Amino acid sequence: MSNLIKSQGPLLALTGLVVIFSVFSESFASMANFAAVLEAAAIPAIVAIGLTYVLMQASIDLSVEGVASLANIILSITVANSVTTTDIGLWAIPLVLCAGLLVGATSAAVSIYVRMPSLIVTLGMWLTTVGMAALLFPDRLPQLLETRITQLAIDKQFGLSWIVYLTLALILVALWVEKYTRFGRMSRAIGENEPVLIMSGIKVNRHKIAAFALAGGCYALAGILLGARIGVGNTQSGVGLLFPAIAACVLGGTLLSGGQGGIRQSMIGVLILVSLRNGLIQIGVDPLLQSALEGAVIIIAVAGSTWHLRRKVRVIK
Amino acid sequence: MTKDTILMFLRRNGALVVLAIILTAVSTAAPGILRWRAINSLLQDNAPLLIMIVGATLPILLGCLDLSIAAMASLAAVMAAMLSPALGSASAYVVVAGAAMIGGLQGWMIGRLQVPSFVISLGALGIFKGIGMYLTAADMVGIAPGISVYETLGSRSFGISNAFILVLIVAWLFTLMLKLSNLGRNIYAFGANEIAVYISGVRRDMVRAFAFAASSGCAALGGVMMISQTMFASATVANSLLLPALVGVVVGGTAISGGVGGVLSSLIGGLIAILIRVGVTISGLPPESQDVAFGITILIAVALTTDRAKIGLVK
Amino acid sequence: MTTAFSLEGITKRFGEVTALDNVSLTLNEGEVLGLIGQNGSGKSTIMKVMAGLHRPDTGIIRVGGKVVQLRSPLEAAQAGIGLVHQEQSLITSLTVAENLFLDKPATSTRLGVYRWAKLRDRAKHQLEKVELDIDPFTSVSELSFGQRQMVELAKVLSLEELVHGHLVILFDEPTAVLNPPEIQSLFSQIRRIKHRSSVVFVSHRMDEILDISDRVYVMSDGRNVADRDKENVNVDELYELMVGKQRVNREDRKPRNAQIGAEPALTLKNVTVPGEIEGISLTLAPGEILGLIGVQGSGAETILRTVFGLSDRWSGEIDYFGMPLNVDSPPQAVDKGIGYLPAERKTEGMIRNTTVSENVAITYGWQHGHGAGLISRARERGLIHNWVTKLGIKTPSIGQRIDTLSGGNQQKVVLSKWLFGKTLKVLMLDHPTRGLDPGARSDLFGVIRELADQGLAILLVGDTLDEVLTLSDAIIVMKDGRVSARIEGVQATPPSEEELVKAMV
Repeated sequence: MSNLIKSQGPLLALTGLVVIFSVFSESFASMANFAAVLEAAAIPAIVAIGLTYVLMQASIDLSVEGVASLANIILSITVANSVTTTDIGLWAIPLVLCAGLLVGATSAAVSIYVRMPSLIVTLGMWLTTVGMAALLFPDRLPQLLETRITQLAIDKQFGLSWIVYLTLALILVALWVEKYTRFGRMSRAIGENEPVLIMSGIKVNRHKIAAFALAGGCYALAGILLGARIGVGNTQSGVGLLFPAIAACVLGGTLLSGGQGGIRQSMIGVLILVSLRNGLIQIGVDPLLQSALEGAVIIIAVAGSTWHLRRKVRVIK
Repeated sequence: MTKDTILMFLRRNGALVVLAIILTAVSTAAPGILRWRAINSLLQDNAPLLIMIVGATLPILLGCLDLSIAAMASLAAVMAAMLSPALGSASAYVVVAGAAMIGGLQGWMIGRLQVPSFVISLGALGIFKGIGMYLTAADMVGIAPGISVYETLGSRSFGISNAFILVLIVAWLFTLMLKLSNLGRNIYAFGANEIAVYISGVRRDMVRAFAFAASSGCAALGGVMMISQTMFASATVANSLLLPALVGVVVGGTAISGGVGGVLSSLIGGLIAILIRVGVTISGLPPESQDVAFGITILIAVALTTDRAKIGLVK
Repeated sequence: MTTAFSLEGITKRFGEVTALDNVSLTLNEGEVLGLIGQNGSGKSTIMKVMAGLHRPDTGIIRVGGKVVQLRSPLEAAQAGIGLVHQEQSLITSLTVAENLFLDKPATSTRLGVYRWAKLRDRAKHQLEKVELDIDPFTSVSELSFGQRQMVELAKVLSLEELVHGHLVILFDEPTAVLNPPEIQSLFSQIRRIKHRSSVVFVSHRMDEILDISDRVYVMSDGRNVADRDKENVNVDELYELMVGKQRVNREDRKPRNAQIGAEPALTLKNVTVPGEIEGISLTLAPGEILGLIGVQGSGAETILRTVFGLSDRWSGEIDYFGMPLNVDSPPQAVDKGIGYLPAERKTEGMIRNTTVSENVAITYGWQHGHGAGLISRARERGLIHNWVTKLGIKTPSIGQRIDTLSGGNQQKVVLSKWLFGKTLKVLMLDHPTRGLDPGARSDLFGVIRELADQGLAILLVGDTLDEVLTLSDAIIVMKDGRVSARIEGVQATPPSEEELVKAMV
């Protein structure tokens, strides 16, 4: 029993939340609301996928918001839009994804070769990308006129937008990568015991660069989908992505100390967080309190999940 | 000179050299900046940032990071404004004292829960922001007019901004504390080797609680200074100050790995951060692009000041 | 018999300390060589040289007659040499199968994608070699220590398919984490693999060595002191040889005229730390030096750390001058007047990147200050100079960074932090002379005796026999977390070194 709670705790928590909210709110357990939850979970899920590989390796990446905003701006000024004359059509998508990959790979390379903690490197990268987004921003808010992108959010199949289907597909790919590729398998192992892997001749640095690059790619994809959803290019579009992503990963069991968790766990974490937000609004909690709630959840989740690791002789920075 | 001695020199005096270079560059581009009036108003405008930098130095000396300072400054501004009709001048004192207590609680929790400081303070950032939004209903709140504390903070003595004088006093007090008190000794030693200091019998939870109390208290003071200038507060009024504040501390030469640096070096770093902002403005670039400058400066400053012997595996 | 592997004239130094001094060793095909020695005798260094973890300063390594260089564990593996770790080399979040081939060329992946079916077949084959009947896709975290040890063994044995010729398998204290049935099953595996490999087996337990080995190889002070076929082993002789240089020169020894207090300063009753020590009781009086000794992992250090408030979970009773000692953290212990010199000088003892004077003054500096939490560096300076002179600390100035001093001087600085105050009553020393040269050691011995003469109660975990025999008024020998012998009146009627070694191994 206690083993079950340990291994499936987040899933039980999610079930518990759904049951409680269904009892206290009539509208929570409706098809329309479930669709709303999935829509709200899609973009955080994509960010969490990228972050999960990085966290499994015991690193951290804070650059989410900057990279997503930058991606959003690059997209909105290179496709058909209301401000600039550039229009490279759907080629903008690979361009933006490459930009994301490049930012991620740069963070990892700086962290590895200049020997700086990823926390600081990605903090710097966060700022740098926010600033780059501002520099690239044209004079006025560019409206996206490329319908093939905006339709992703508008066009619905069985009540769900293409964004949700795209996210589901990405989750499947990420699960496959986690289970079937050397990169996926080694990512968790790096977080658990890097020295042994180095001694075994595993090229750890390559896997680290790959994880950050993939994470950057995911953030860029999130930036594209945000563009599809809001229909404009905005330097603030990525703001608010970092918190829920970290909270979701930790809630699901992908710990900041590395070596644990995975895509499945992080996705459950995303659902917990989104259901919590949605349910609390349903039962009448002020949405302005949302970030306070998320902040408290992060602290409680990290403290609770690492409680058994507490030792007197342990460095906490 | 060998590579090591150059690096050593840069670590010791790098901040002053950088300050001189930037000052020269900025004053060449805009000679008006060197006039006393311009400097004075620059110092007055940036006193909130400088006081936050002074406070944020203490956790970083321990090797910790307090990401909640800007949110705390905003919340403090909001609280001070809301309490000002009822409490008058006391509202400022109450807010700063309360912030210090909350900061102390944060620091204490890091040790008790054994959760890294950046997680606790990131969570605290969210909590402060949420409470601020809720209290103000995401709107502006004004301060009651004619309260002496805020009027004093917003004005000048002997032609110098009172807020800036307060920054200097607090920085001087912290410097004395770090140099002359047992607590100051413990803070530096803690940053150098937490475990050895603990085994030497130092109450590490108390040391950490004090450092975070100082950083929160200073952040709240910064918030109070802000409303004394603008007379209005919102739940996001100080949010953009987090990164310039961290830039100031690390550019001043306080190593993010702990144990090295000081409040006065941070003040120099703070002046650099201010000049970077000014430089971006007079160069005609959009103001947001100062973030690129900050991001790159933070990376270079940390690369130069981190003691790599102390971080075995880079994570 | 053909020689499978040999070391010829291997010397390895770490700074001032010579860990291996011109050591030679030959290993025949199909033989189990039992390697035994005390802590610091060089047995684990020699294993690391063989496994490619340390490179020797001088000497030759031959595998199958050919001279080889072993620059890394991977190169050792290519030469057919594998080290079975105690447990640390398995990645617990990966499956057994993945762990088996972690350090081998990737043949079960194509373009970075796993072929799980092929991996399973290959892993099954390897697990059969050690008769381990588990699913290759079990996560290592679900295995018992005994099973993990078998996986380690299978990992090494899977070198067979990659290497032509004989395997050399090194076991580094494999029994330390196993229970008796697991040990027996490990032994039967070792006997089974003998026909196709040679084995080096390190243990600190004499009975195990005699049980499993064909030949016994004894190390002492970085040298080989005996190499005997099993038939010619004289156990008493081996104990005698293990003592080596640690034999105390009895003529030189100045028995201490200890003024031992009547009331005990520290009393432990039935103290247990799960997995480390069990049912420890002892008393320590003011003016007394109580020496604890045991091999690595015997639990002696844990006793000190528990008294100092560093154990996370423990039970039992500790009294301090007749009152229960309620201490949960080092600061509380220090308040009561207890000091602790940790064994890990670099990580727990000295505060690196700070000066000698800050290291000395960190704990008690405030006692010499102006009050109200203000310190007086001027007053401290005089007192620090006193201690620097008294302990003979060689440093250009007290403002010198502690990192730049030699190991012995660093240790004296860390020790003087406890002597700097006015309130210390009990001092616990954990391997105080580890890594020090002989001169620094005897200096430190003198200081410790003097402190006891001044009425301090001293609890000492010694590195070597001669250390505890020279210093202690009473000795407690630890083995496997329990007290295995207790000797009073050491200064008057010293026990023989052999007696102590027998109680330890």
